[in-house]
This record gives sequence, C-alpha cells and structure tokens, in this order.
Amino acid sequence: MLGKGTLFSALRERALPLNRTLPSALPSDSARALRSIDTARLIRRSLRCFVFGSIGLVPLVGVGLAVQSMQLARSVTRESGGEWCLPPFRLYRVVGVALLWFADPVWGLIGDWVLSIFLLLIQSFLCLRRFHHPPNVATWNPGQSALAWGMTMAQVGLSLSLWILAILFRRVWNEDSAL
Amino acid sequence: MTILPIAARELRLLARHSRTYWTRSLNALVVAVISLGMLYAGFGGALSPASAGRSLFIIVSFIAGAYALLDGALMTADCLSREKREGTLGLLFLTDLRAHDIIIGKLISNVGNSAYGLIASLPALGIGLFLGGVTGKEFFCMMLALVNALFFSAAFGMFISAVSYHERRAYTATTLGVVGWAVAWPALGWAWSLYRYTPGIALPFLVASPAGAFWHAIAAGAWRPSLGYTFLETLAMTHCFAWAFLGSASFILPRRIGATAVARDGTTTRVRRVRPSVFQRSKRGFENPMIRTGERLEAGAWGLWPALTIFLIVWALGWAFVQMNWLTWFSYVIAVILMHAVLLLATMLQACRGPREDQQSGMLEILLTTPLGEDVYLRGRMLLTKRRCLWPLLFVVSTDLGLAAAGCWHAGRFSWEWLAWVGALVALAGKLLLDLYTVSWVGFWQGLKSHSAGIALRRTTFYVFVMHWLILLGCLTFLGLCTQGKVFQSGAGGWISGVGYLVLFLMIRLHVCGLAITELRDELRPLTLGLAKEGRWCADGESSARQGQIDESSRIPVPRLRD
Repeated sequence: MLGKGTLFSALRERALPLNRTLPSALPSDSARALRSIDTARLIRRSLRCFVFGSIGLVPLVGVGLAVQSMQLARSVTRESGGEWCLPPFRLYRVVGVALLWFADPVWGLIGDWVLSIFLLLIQSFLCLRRFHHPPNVATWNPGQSALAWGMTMAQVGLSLSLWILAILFRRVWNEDSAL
Repeated sequence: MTILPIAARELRLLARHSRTYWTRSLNALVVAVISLGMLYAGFGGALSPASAGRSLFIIVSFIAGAYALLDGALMTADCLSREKREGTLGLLFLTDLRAHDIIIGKLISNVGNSAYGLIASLPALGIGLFLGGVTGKEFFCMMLALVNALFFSAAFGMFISAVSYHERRAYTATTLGVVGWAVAWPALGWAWSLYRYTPGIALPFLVASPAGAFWHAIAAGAWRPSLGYTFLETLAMTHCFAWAFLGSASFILPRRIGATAVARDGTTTRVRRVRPSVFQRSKRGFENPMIRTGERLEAGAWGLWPALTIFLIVWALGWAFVQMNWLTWFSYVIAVILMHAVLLLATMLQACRGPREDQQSGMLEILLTTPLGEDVYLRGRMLLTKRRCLWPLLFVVSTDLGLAAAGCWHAGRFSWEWLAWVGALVALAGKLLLDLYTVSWVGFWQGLKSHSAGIALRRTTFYVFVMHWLILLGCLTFLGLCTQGKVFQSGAGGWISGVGYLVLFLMIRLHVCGLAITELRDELRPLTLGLAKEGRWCADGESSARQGQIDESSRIPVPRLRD
C-alpha cells in the first residue's frame, strides 16, 4: 500500500517540491538586505558622532571621545549599507611624526605649527571628500553631513594629540641629553 | 567526610578560573607601576632613598588599607541577603549543610579574589624595605594588618548580610559600619586627644579597630609599647571580633532564611503613597513614570542627611571644645574631602543600585514593553538621581563656601591667601560636579551591566577614581625609565606630572561618560536582558561584521523533510 504508485507516494511527490520552494523560517541574508532601517536612530547616532568629534578636536583631552566618534561613524556607515573605507590617515600621522621630529630642532614651534596645519588640511580635505557624499550607499542618511564633520574633527584631534606628544617627547629627550 | 564542603568546592573553582590569575597578576602590576611612578615623580632627587622608601611604604599602605576595608565589605554585604530575596537559601538548608558551611563557603567565594589580589600586591611594599627607612618588622606587621583588615571587613559584611534582607540596607549598613569602626572611631579619639591636650590617641579608640594595628605598624614600630598596647594585642582583638561576627552570622542565618524575613519585610516596607504638593501638582504636566515610581519606592528614606548632620554636629562640637586649635588648614581639608567623599559614595551607590532594583522587580521590563520606550526610562532615572542629590549637593557646596570664608577670615587682611582659598573652592566645587556627573552615568551603566551592585560599585570606582592615576603613574614610570630619572630632577618633571594629571583626569572622565552614554542609549534593551555582554544581541542594523558572527552562531537549525 505504501509502494510506488500508491496514494502516499503521489502525495509525497507533490509535497516535496513544495517543501523545497518554501522560504526559510529565519530571515536569509537577502531578506536582511531589504530590512527597514531606523532613520531616527541613524540621525541620532550621526549627531552624537558630531558632538563627540567636536569634543575630540581638543588635543589630548578629547582622545577617548575622538576614538568613540570614529567607532560611531563606522557603525553608522555600515548600518546604512555603505562601505567603510578610510583614507590612509595612519600613514599621514606617521609621516607627520617623522617630519616634526626632524623639523622641530630646525624651525622651532612656528615651523611645527605650519607643518601640522598643512598636514591637517590635507587630511581634512580627504576625509570630507570621502564621507560627505559616500558612494554606493544603500540608505540615505539625513545626518551624513554631521557624520562627515564629526569624523573629520575626530581625525584632526587624534593627529594633533599624537604630534603634540611626539614634540613633547622630543623636547624632553633633548633636555635629557643636554643634562 | 569532607570538612567545609562548599569552601573546598569554591576554592577548587577559583583555582580553575582564569580570572583568578588575571586579577592577581594585574593587581601586582598595578601596585608595582604605582610604586615606581611615585618613586620617579615624587621623590626623584628631592628625597634621600631612606625617606623616599618610608614615604612610599606609607602611601602604598594607605591605598592597600582602603582597598582591604572597602572591597572586603562590599563584596560580602549582599551575598546572603540576595539568596534570601531569591528564595534559594532555604533550599541549601534542606541538604546536610550547616550554617557555618554556607558562611565560610560564601566568604571564600566572594573574598577569594580580593585576598589573592591583596597578597599579590604586598611584595611592592618591600621596595621601601630595600630602599631603607622601613624595618623588616614594620613590613611584616603591615602585611599582617592588611590581611587582617580584609578578613575583618569581610566578616562584618557577612554578619550584616545575614541580618538584612534588602540590598540597599545591607550595603549602607556595611559601608557605614566599616568606615565607622576603622576610621570614624579613631578620628573621634584623635579629636578627644586634641581636647585633652594628650600626645597620642587614647587606648580604647584604637585597640579594637583595624586602624590600631595599621597605626602601630606605621607610626610606632612593631611591638613597641608607646601606644599603650602591643601590635599582637590589637591584631588578636580585631581577629576575635571578626570570628565573633562570623559566629553570629552562623547563628542568625538559619533563623532568618527568607519566609519570616519576607513577612517581616512586608510589614515594615510598605509602598507608601506620596501626594505631591500643590506646587508640584500644578507644575507637573506630563510626568515621567520613573520619577513617581522612584519617589514612592524611596519615600521615607533619609538619604544622605543623617551622615551630613552627624558630620556637622562633630564639626561644631570640635570647634566648641578645641576652639582655635580646630581651625587649621589641615582640618578644613579633611572636612572638605570627607564631605565630598560621602556625597560621591552615596550618589554612586544610588546609581549602581537603582537599575538592579528595577531589573529585579520586573519594573524595567514592564516599562520597556510600553510605548514609552527607553528614553523615558533613561531620562527618568537620571532625573531621579539629580533630584536625590540636589539638596545634599547644595548643602556640601555651601559648607565649602563657609569653610573658604572661615579660611579668608583666618588669614586676616586681603592677600594672596584669599585668592588661594577662593581658587581652591572653585576648583573643588568644579571637580565635585564633574565627578558627580560621571559617577551617575557610569554607575547607571555598570549597574545594568553587572550582576550585583557590589561589582558595579567596584568597576565604577575603578573607571572614575583609579584609572587616570594608574595611567599617569604608568606614563611617569615609562618616562623615568627612558630618561633614567633625569627628567624628574629638573622643573620639567613637576610640570609633566601636573599637566598630565589634569589631562588624564578630563580625558578619562569624558571617555567613560561617552562610553556609558553610547551604550545606554543604543543598547539599553540588551543590557536589560543581560545579552549585550555575552555578544548574543544584535541591534537592528548593527555592524555587518558583528552580525555575521552572531547570526552564524545563533542560527537555529531548521529541520527538513528527507526525500
């Protein structure tokens, strides 16, 4: 009765293809791609990124908030479906440290400031160009401008902090050698 | 038959836990960094090695003493009362276990890590021994005094926990009891000696307190009878007190295992109705539900006022009896530090305990299922903390103002000393406000994150009051090692230390506040459910890397029909 050509086998032949086409109980990756995004949450986090970034602009004191601002920017960019790809800031920072290390004894504090401002302007330009109108973003973020500015200020704060520390260390080192 | 089965089990558990080793190593590292940093920053070139060693020994001993007293008390304050509240203590008594088994087991499981940490950090005290200025006897006595202080405070915490039922009361009574026994009672003895014009603190004020052994090891040298008692006498007395507390806890515990406590509790802590005044009623439009609930739950609580009133009375009595000897720069500074510490501790306790209580009572879950949402809860909790602290804060600031005015009056004519008093007042008030703000946010954050208020308190203290010191001293040690200590022999060392402290103080406060605000605003629900720390939660649209990890691990396999 349960062999081939019986009522059960007919049911099974009809049921299995149906089973194969049924959607999974859990959302798949493609379903997640079409999920709704909480725009209010995006805006709120972008504004927080701006606030943290503007406090992070203060050298040394704002380092912690600058790092948090960067983390928020990364999180928001990924949340809105964008690609997180930073300009080579680390390279600029290392180059800045090297230049200031050698330029400080020659040009003094004014030379340090001019060099730092020049490097910071380049960094800020790159950062704003990259984040003000990001390419290939799935969802429009109304707070994108705040995010870009927050990110830029955080970068500037981090670079400034590093360079100030480098100059201080250089001077202490010089004084120590003189002693 | 195993003697003390729970204690043996807990010790085995601790021995297998990686956290035990990490805590121990970190404690030793921290104390070593602090010691080296202090040696370089404070004493580089300015002091002889012997006096530097002596100063280092005293400072590290004070830090370790405060740690031993507070950590032991806070870790045990709620361990038994929590079991009572959850109704699990009665289940333990259904087995063959006796009360002393439970007490000793709980003591070991809660204080084991603290004891290991303390013992690991003791060798750092020996730096003073190598530098000179500290004898071997003093070093040995100090080690004994510190370990005994930890045992005493933990035993006191167990006793209070066995007696109490509520978390709030247990913590408050334990903190006040330990601070009173170890600090306030000897301080009263000091005031008495000032009044009587006697050279030292009278015997009854020191001999029964953990401070007695501590003071003996620091001030008088070991086994020297100049204080009227020997080191061993005071050590034995506090040790006996500690065993008496444990014995009393063992006696009381089976008699208060939950049911009776609940019944008694129900009669004593009814939720009281609070009618808002006419002014408040007319002013309130939309009211945050948290505020009304919090006011109802805390109605009748005295808050900080008893501590502040006692402080004021002691101050007034001191002034009345000792008169001009009382009005010194030293007593002003001690008064300000004590008042600020009390206010900060009370705020921290409230910030850490509040969210735990909301979680345990189920109120938070109910509130989060309503359309009011997370922001209302967050705002309400913070507003409640502000309201509770506003009047005590005004009182403390006005007392600071009064002390500064008294200092100016004491200085006489208008001079630079006036400016110093006003500057100190403004700086201290600003620091207090910043500390209160940070402590409120971080305490709230850690209260939701940790599984007990004691751990939340410990973490908040570390983030707000310890971390910047640690980083500063670490940096100074590094700088000292790089320059072989030369930098601290010139004026640059002082500048670097001062500016470094200021920068790190502001930086760490801003950083931890930012972390707390971000996590509370974005992940309140997972924090409430205890999922955030386990990585099982993914907020809507969170980062893709994190999503990938979580989805793969938490995906439930869907059964499929076989062909």
